[in-house]
This record gives sequence, structure tokens and C-alpha cells, in this order.
Amino acid sequence: MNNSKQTTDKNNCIIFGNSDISNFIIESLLNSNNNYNITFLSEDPLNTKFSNEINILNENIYDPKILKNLDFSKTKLSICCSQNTNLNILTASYMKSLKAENIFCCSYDTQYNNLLNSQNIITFNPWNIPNKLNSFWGN
Amino acid sequence: MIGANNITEHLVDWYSKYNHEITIIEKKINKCHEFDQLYGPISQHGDAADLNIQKLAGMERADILIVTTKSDSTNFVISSLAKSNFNVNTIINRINNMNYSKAFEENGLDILINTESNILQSIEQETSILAPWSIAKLKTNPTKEIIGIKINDDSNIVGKSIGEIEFPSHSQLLLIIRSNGITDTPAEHKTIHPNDELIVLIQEGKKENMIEYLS
Repeated sequence: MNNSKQTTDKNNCIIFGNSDISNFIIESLLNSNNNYNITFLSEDPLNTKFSNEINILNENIYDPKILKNLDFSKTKLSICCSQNTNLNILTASYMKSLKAENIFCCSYDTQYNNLLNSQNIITFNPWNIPNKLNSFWGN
Repeated sequence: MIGANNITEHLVDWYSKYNHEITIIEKKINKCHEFDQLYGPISQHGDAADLNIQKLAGMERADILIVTTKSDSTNFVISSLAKSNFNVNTIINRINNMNYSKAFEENGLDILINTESNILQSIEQETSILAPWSIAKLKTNPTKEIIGIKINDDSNIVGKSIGEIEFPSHSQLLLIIRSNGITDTPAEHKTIHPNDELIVLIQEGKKENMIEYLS
């Protein structure tokens, strides 16, 4: 079953996990006027102000099945930003194994900042968003 | 080893016999005390996903790290930290959801143990005829695999001597286990009987060829 609404052009973004930082990122991407097609993977049923503007998949985020049906070759940006740092790290690596590019991983602990460097995954702390991530919605 | 649980308890018993130095990192202080009382001071209290705790436990001296918590993401972070900071040579991970296996492998964590797969393998071994089960991959040559095959009554090779049998290329018969459990080393004159189990070295991915040949 492919329940995503990804478009064929490479303007898709996948946001994994519900948190303050994921809400901030979604809002920033939507406000960027880049017409991103955003898929938001969340365990919690959401009724946010973005509900009509993004594709929300409510499933168990601890089961990697949620990612298997997504086409990462058509994805411009993937961000793991649930509230669970360990889950974000494993999921970011799993996305890499699915051939995703531009993967960002949110960590609430600075000791993990360089952990995924060898896989070209950028780990960031929510209080210090890297320029490369900012550039997806910056001017 | 990470976590004071039934698995690590068995492993401590096992490794202690060979005088290996063992440290267990465990979050719960009462579990640490329990293990220390049983085995002497072997516990390091704390979160194994914390670099300082790994340092305190002496991770830089570890030859083998065994990570068996019930959380794949916890196992992944602990192992990745140990690998990148302490260059631990051998890291064995319990993996609960095999979908994550590629993520582990691509991060250099390629010794994975999955309980479900092991149970399935045991069931296959106990119930199947002519369904080979995997025994081990050669560490020095991972493209080679040792498998077991049970021979049924109708197999092509029943009644033939080993000298007459032409096993598929890149395979080699290592051992015959007779139906009464007696092991028999292969020799040209020895004959294959129904219900013999053959232990064979094959090229990885050639199981199907072997089944076809023996059917």
C-alpha cells in the first residue's frame, strides 16, 4: 500500500515525528513559497493549522514500515524530529539505507552531534538549526 | 555487555569460565547490585547511550560489545557511539525489527541477532525435509555459508556413494549426521541414506541449486 501523496517532481519533504521543532520546520517550509509537498509522519492524531496544507500519516513511528512505502528518490529533504533522540538517529540511518538525500536528524543531546557524519547525515540540536537546513526555507 | 538481563546473565556465566574481563552497563541500580553480588564487581551503573558512562565502563579496552536491549534505537545509538569513539572491534546487536537491518549494516554494525529469525530457523530445522537451514557464514569469507540439509526418501542421492555424487559447483560436503545421530566423516565409499543430515559448505545464495540437485 502506498499511502503517501508524494508528487513526481523532486519537491517532496518528509518530516518524521511530532515535536515543537517539527512544527516550526513545517511552518517555515510552508512559508517559504517553495511549494514543498510535505508528508508528516506522526503517531499523534493532529489537528494543526497545517492540516489542510500537508499530508499527514498517522501511524506507529516506532515501526519502520511507515517509511517503506515512501519514495525517497523523489524526496528533496528528510528530517527526523520526533521527541525521541535515539529513534531519530536510527530512523535517519534507515532513511539513508532507503537512498534518501539531505537527511537531517534532531538530537536533544550534543554528544551525538557527529555520530552520523560518516553517513552524510547532519545531526542538529533544536536550539541551533544549521544553516544548511535553514537554507531550505531561507531567502 | 549492555543491560543486566537473562541473556547477559547466561553470557557472564559462559565468559567467566574463560577468565574474560566482563563489564555490564545497567541503568537500574538494584540490578547492578544483584549482578555484583552474584559475580563480583562487574556492573557499571548508568545509561550506556551516554559517552561518559561508556568511558567509565572501560569501553576503550573492549574487544567485544554485546548489546541486547529490547529497543532497536537504543541498541543502535549505543553501538554507534562505541564504534565511532572507541573503535570496538566486534559489536553484536540484538535486532527486534529486521527492517532496520540495513541501517545497522550500513553503519558497520553487521553482527545482528534476531530472535524471531532464530526461532523460525529452529522450526525449519525441526520440521522440514529438503529445506536447508543456515548454520553459519564463514567469518573469513562471508560469501561462503555452512548449511544443513535433511535427505528424504525420494532424493536423487539416496543409495549413492559419495564418490558417485556430483555436488553443485562451489559446494563441499563436510559431515554426515546419520538418522541415529551418529556423525560420519565423508569418504568416497560411504552411502547416503534417507533421513541423513548433510552439513555442506556452499556459495552464498546457492541453496536453491542444492535443493534442485537433491530433489
